[in-house]
Amino acid sequence: MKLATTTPFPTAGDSLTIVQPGRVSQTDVAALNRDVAGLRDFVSILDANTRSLHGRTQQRELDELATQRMQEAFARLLDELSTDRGLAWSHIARLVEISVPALRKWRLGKAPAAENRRRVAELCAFMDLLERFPIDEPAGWLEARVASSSTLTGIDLYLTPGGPVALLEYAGHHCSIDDLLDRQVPDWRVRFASDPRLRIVETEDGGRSLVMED
Amino acid sequence: MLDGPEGDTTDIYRARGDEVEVYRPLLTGDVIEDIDIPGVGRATGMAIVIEHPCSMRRGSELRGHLIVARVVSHENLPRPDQWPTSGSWDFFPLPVLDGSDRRHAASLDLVGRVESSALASARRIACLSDQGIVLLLQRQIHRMCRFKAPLADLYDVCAPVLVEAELLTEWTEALVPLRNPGSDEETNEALNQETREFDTFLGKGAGSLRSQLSTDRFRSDVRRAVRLEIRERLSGGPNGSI
Repeated sequence: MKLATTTPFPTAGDSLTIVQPGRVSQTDVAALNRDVAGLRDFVSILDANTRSLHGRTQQRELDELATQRMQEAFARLLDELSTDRGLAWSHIARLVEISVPALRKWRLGKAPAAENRRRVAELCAFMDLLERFPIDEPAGWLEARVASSSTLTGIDLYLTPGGPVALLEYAGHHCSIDDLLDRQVPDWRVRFASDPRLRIVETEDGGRSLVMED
Repeated sequence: MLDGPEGDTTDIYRARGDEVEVYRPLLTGDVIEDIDIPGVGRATGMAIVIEHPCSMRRGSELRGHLIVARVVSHENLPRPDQWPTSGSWDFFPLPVLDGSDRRHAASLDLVGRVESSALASARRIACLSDQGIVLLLQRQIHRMCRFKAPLADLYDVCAPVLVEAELLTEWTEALVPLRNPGSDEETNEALNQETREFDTFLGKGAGSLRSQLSTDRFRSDVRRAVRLEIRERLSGGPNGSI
């Protein structure tokens, strides 16, 4: 990568000279400022490139793990998602983009199409990778809203293009929640912003009610 | 103005026809055949339960009466691929309800109180999905108050009940057959017994599983506990009730 700057950037082998304040001329300061601005641009481009590269390697790892998980018995994969992970059947159906009755048929032994089998394996692989991060309960994490500012849940974001990798990036603290939402659902502030005035309260009959507060 | 289904209009359904889970507890959005609604015409016909999920039961028992709306059919109702989000406030579309070309909708101004035992014993031909249930609630609220309640918040209010209903279905589907019921009467008795067993299991202790359902992040813990319990009972383990 070549950048338009007056001095070359330091490499790992170079040592930086610390300029003492008050001992530099105006010209030196201007040159230093240009260099730092250039360095900042360089880091920014490097960050964008490594982010893109990390996205691709993350996707590759997810794909390879899913291919491995495909070798396992299908019933075992379903059992893992339901009993071990605690996902709702209706959520599993939504995440692999099939109907609840179709999933029900799989549970009763009907063989899924190869494409659907792959999607189930991908979901298992995603949950495996999610577990690497400090998340207490991956299934609960997916089911909950991703931020108090939005009504979107992890499941909603999983279903967006590139959603699994984006969620893993967020889980690994490589991006902020706003970055995640802006990238995956650009109009989320219009369509999926939460109303901070609405609050759920427990009621005397043991139920719950929605109340609006100032 | 009002919201519509995220994808296909038929995404409002959890199941239709033979796909309806026999042991699923009666719930908001269930469409039932041959129901007489007092004060709403003389003929029987299809009805949809419009009671709020949180108001249908006292403990595990259904309330004596539930509010239902008449399901009507008319050629002027929206096409199956259309979902009106503005106007038509009195109707909740039920696209491709019975597999025929006829267009159906719940008529939210043809409403009455029906004995829950009549609903529980009649044939259920469709169940709404979670998305369908909150769309139905949103339309009813708007019809009554001209207020568009956010779907996500409507879901959050009734989520514990919806999750519990799904788990109860799993419990009864697995454990009722273990009681080897023969007649319909025996099946109903076995279903009632397992419903009570499930209710007891979910309500045990101060920090009960049922209370954990109120927090979305804990729901997976509850599902896991219920499924492990079902597995243990199926294998005749120490907590097996049969």
